[in-house]
Amino acid sequence: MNEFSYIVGAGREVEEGLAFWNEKAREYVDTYYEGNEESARGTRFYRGVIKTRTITNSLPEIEEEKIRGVFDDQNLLASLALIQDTSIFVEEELVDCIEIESIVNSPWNLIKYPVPEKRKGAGTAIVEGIIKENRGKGLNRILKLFAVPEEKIFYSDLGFIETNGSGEMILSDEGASMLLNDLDQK
Amino acid sequence: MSQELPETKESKAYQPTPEQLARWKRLDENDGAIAGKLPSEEEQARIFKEFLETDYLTDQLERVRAHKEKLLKKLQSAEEYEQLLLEKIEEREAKKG
Repeated sequence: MNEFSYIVGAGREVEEGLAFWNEKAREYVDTYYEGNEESARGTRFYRGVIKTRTITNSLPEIEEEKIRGVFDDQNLLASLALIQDTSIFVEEELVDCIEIESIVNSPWNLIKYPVPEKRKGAGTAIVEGIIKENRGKGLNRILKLFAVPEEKIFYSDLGFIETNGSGEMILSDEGASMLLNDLDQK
Repeated sequence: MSQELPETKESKAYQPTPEQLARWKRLDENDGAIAGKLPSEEEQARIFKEFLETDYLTDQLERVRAHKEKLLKKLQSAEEYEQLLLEKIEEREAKKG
């Protein structure tokens, strides 16, 4: 299993990491998708470029405390998340929750081709980091995110449960414990 | 006083269930994590083309400068308000004196 280090907040390392993502994504489009939009359309890599771009377009305005990331053994930014505290109704009761507004892996962890930078497990590592950070503060808050149809199976395998068919998924405290236990055994 | 049992190779070995193995395999295969809503397909095509046609560093520089400008205006506004409050407090103290 690959090892990742979890970081809280933005900074030079995240900004440099995102600039490198852009550089590599451009390189991959030229190498694997004939340098055009149509050839990449519909791929997970394409969706990752869109998600990354929507984050970087507002990067200067994003509050640092919302940013989480994981770095791999090459010291490359492998996955990035934006989170915020919120509340949701669970069985008619308003409970504290962490909303994962966005997660996006690096382009090399999204592209289907076996590029040398690829390190599997970054997406799992960032969810694991968010759970452990939360528990480190003595809190057992539910995690909430929105998953597009193609990504639901990944979050479902992490223990997230779909709430209303809209793509909203939650990971309960019990589900989070099971995930941590599962990852310990892996 | 409890006595710990000596660890053996057998006690350490964990046998994952077939369901766990299948899930771990799927996690490895699907670990291209993306979460959060995506814009419409039309907007996605526009964003992707923008990504291909824009120089990232220059674009980020423009964005950070625009943000800095906004923050400087906010700072100036806060400083002006601070000054106003200081003047009002000074006036009040002068009347008392």
